[in-house]
Amino acid sequence: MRSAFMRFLAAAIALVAVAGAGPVSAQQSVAIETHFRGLRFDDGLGPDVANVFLTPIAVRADLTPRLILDVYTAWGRGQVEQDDVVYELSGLVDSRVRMNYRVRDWASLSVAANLPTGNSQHDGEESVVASVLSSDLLGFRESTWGSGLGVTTGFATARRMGAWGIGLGASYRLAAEFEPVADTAIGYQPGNEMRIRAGVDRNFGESGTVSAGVTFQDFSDDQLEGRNLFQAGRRVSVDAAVAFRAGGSTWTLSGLNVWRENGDLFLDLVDAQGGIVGDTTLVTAKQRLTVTALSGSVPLGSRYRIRPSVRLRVQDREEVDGTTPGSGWLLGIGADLPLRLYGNYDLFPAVRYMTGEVEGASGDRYGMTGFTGTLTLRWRF
Amino acid sequence: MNRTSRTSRVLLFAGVSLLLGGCAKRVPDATPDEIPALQAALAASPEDTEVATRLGVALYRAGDYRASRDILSAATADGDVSGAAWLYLGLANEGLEEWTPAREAYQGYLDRGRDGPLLDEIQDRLRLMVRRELEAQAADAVAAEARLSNTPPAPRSIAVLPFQLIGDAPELDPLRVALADMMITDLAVSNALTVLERTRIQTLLDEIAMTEAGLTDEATGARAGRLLQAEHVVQGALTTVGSDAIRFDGDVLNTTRAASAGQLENQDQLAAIFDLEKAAVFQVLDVLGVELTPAERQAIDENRSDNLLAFLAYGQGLQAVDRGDYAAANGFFNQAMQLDPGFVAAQTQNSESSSLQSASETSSDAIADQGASEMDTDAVSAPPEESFAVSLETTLVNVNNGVNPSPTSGQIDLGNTSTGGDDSEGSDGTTREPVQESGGSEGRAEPTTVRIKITITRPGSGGGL
Repeated sequence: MRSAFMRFLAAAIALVAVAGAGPVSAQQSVAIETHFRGLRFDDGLGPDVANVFLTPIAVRADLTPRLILDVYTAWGRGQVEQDDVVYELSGLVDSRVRMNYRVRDWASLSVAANLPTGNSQHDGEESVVASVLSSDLLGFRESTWGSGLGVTTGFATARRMGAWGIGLGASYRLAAEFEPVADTAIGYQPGNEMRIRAGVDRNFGESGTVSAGVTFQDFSDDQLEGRNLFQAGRRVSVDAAVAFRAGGSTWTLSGLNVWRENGDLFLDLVDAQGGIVGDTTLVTAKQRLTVTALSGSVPLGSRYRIRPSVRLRVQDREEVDGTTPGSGWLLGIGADLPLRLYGNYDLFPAVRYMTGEVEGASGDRYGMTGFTGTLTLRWRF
Repeated sequence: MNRTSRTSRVLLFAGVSLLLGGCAKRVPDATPDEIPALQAALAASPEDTEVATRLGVALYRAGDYRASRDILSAATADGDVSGAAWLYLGLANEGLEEWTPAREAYQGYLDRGRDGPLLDEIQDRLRLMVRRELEAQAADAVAAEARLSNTPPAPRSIAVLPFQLIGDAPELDPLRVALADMMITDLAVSNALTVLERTRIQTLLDEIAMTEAGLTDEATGARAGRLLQAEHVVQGALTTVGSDAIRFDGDVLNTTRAASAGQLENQDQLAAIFDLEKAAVFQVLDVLGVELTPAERQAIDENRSDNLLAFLAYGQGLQAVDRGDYAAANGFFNQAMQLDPGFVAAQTQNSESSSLQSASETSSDAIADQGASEMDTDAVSAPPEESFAVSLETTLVNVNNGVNPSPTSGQIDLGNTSTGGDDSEGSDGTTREPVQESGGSEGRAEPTTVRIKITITRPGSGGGL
């Protein structure tokens, strides 16, 4: 634990040093946060409590007017309580470094790296935590802590055609092999990922904007020890948003729908001696996640504003046998209150109450309630 | 649409305008010599607005602005009066340096007056009145400074002072006002703030004779903010860095607390001056807790000139406006428009300064002289045919030549009309000939004959076009 914390501290200092090295003209910001998200489930689901505590640090540095560097890392602790036993997964998460270069006003290139600073080797208890936290419905910000080295390159372009803005983007992620299981040397090679996105937007009225986009994701096979293990299902997401002003307030109504196709899990058939005698393929669940949100920014007095939001997540998940474990909904209601402390120091306290239900393996639905609290300190210089 | 049809429509429009114009009241002219008789007539018939208007005009011409203002105010308050009453009420108030009532009276005239060129003059004059109003308000604010210091400012209001320029680059001096002006425009994109107009701010700064050094001094900024009744004031300094970079340091000052609400810092290449300004605008909005919609953010980002030289010329134009040198301002704004034809702000300011130039070069006496056209010298109601002939003449010459000649460039023969074999008789019993431009017009476009059918209805005959 101490070692992980020291690594986190060293990474944080390094990040600040990188930011400080920028030219005088650049805009830099450093944000440090404490974040907690916890959910309590009704009896019978399996897990009784799941929570994540994170202390991320993020740096943004405009190295030149066209070149922006973003860095993010965090120390986190995830816990799942089940049958009065608390399982824990903690340590540094993977760090992300991203450089975005604006080639032209209408085109940009980006290179991002997922640095394997996180705890990617899980023992049995940690795997329990990771599997619960990875549910898209529950919306935890971290679930696996580590997924090996990955490099993503991408480009994006946007043009205005009459009243419409049209954007296209594509990226490709190359993943390196890592060892996911503690105390073994089994190599796991995540599949590469291709992502293509197209979007449009259009202004209306004096201050309104409507935007929509579609994103397509495809994955190559994950490999275990050089053999194909898992073909993740392709994902297609459609999103739309309407932003508008009402008096001194601004509001955004948004929706997102993500379809994930069935995946294929390739498993070897082994004999009693462990020799491979054949293989089989299992089809994993397909899933649809819908997120609808209304968020606003409402002035409070002459300098402050409160940003209320309501967010509903609905997940439909279907196994190949027709059962729907993991399906459910989660409604979150909350607000954040940006505060200027002094000079260029800002504080962003945010709270959110959550309630919903999720279907267990038995087919029964179980209620859940939770709370998210975040306190972010940002320094711009 | 063929030419005849188009011409008929033009004539129809002209005729409708004529009828509407004919409904406006016109009063006989009045001279100072008639004052005693008019006073007696008004005493005998206090409700007679026509007499009151004539008396007001006569008093104005006699130089008694106050008496003229009082008489005409009462007459216009009664409602249905001629354009002349409003015009001379404006002139009388102007003579008394009562700018707000003068502006209101001129606005009244615009609703009722019927002399085209004079309406344009008054439209321009309104802008001059606004300037004068602002100067008077600034003087009043300074006079009432002690009281204003204890008056809470308008919530979420903000003023942007001209910036200070630090460095040895006098050619960049116009940026001080041009960037402040652009920031004012950008901050106003969001309706979340009440942004004070640049003219109002500059007028006050002129009134308190704020020096350039004072533009970045907190105490001076707070004082200006209190006088402007602005809750926040943006102050800043532009510093040249080397030969091709510039730095902006600013402050969002809370005028009530006389303390900074947030600081602004940016540096960029001179060629990226608009990026620098946009960054500062977004920082100001962030300090004030204003969240933008994407459309507002885009509108702010797109408000820029493609040409730095055009922007400098624009700044020189604003400085000339502030000096009251509207002719020079026009020249600079024209230069900015030539350098960047898409520079909307330069176009707007060019129009504004043209109006101000025109208004400032036209004396009240000249307006009063032109105002005689609002008075009838012969009779209460002018013969409609006479006015119609003039309007028709102008319209037809324009139609025939496809250019914009003066009405005297050709003569219109309103003789007997032949309408393509379907000769007809107007309701006034007059048969019309084809309308034709005649007379020597060497070098002009070839005259074109237009066949039209004209029906003139006299007022009161119950007919129409």
